[in-house]
Amino acid sequence: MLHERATAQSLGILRAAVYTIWLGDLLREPITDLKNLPVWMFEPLGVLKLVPSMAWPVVFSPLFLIALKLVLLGLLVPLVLGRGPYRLLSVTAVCLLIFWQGLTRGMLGVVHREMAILYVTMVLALSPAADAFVWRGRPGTKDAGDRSRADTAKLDVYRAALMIATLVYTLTYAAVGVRRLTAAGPGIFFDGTILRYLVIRSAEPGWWADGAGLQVLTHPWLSWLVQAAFPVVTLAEILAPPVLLDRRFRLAWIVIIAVFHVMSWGMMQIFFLQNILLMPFLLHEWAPAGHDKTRLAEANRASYGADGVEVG
Amino acid sequence: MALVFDVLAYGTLLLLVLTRRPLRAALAGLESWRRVALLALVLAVPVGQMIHKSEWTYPFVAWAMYTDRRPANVTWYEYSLVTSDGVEQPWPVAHEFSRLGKRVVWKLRLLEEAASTEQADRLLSHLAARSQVTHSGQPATAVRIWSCTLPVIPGATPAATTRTLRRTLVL
Repeated sequence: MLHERATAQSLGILRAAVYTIWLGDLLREPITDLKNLPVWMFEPLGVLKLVPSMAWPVVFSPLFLIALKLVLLGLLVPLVLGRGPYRLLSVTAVCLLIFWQGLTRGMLGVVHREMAILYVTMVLALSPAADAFVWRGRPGTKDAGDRSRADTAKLDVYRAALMIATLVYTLTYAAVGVRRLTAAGPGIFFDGTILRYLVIRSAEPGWWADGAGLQVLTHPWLSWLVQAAFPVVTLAEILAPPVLLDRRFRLAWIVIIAVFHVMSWGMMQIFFLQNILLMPFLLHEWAPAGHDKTRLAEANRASYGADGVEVG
Repeated sequence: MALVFDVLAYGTLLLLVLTRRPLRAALAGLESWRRVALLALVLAVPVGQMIHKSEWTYPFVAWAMYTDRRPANVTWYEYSLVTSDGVEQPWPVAHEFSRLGKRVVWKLRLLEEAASTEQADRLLSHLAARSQVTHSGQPATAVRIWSCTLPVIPGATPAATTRTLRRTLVL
């Protein structure tokens, strides 16, 4: 099963990757976009309903939005590096990320692009993801960090965290596929619905003019290809969770879904960048036990045979 | 019926994965609070989906993508600004924003197609007041909302789009 030989290093790599992706997202996010929208449009979602309504004009002020961005930056950098009080930083970061993502969704409606990585981040906040793969500072200086906190007694935690993170990531795909069948039935694959989605996403004014999705109207082979791919992609979405179980199925799934994401970007101007970036870290076994050359691997080999297979 | 199918689908998928020995063994080795929290997180995703009320369950939202069976003609809206000197110019609303432009346009479409256009009017008025698009230097006095329809049939091109004035919003 995927991640059954994971180590603290494996989980640490995921931690660094996830928080780096958030960092990139935050740096690209122009806070000014939100301040240009009227506060009356905002309808708090879910946990954000706990915030008193009188606070929202303050929240959507430029000063607050910039402060929120700076605080998040201040949290994400040590989380990437694995420094500082990890549990405090990660839980705070999750709360603020939920808050930040809730602001745009409360204004403009729920979109899904950042939700999978948000769920993975929640798993990281529940796990000791800074026990390894941490920046220790320059050797010999007072800035040098502690020795690795990786603990062979916590291997179950590292492995469970990675498996659960991958499971929640794949469940978001399964949710999309299952809903498509329950809401629309199999007929949706035969009535040209996907073509109409491509056309409207391409024709509706956005940053790109006349997106590639309009090509389905003038290229019958492309229209046929998209309609044939629609049920295949839906099936792959529904069967996402079993990627944890079989390597060959996982590879096939990655190819189908990666192609789907790239085509969605080109033809519908919808790009799940975070999901694509997460794939190599969730769907591949990094630093498994038996292949790690650090001191932890030597400790692991006391429990595992030299070939990395568990003994006893 | 849909709920039954949902429960069966998610139940099958979760049982398939959660009953695997490596995962069971890893979960068994956790502190009970951590095990409960992780499993609660796993269940929250499909439960949020099945409740299907994101406004209450956020961050565990409903996931519905490409589920509406659409009519054969697709319709979207474009906007133009009319200035005080009577000059009309196209108004690319999405360009008023760095990253949220497409979502704002999508929101405007939903508001335009709602039972009442009051919220669409309020948002358009707000955006027009902040718009920097009026190159003539004259303030905008009205927004024209154009309905654009394109039939999704083989051979259709963007030139087949019919564009009609849906309404005029006086600012």
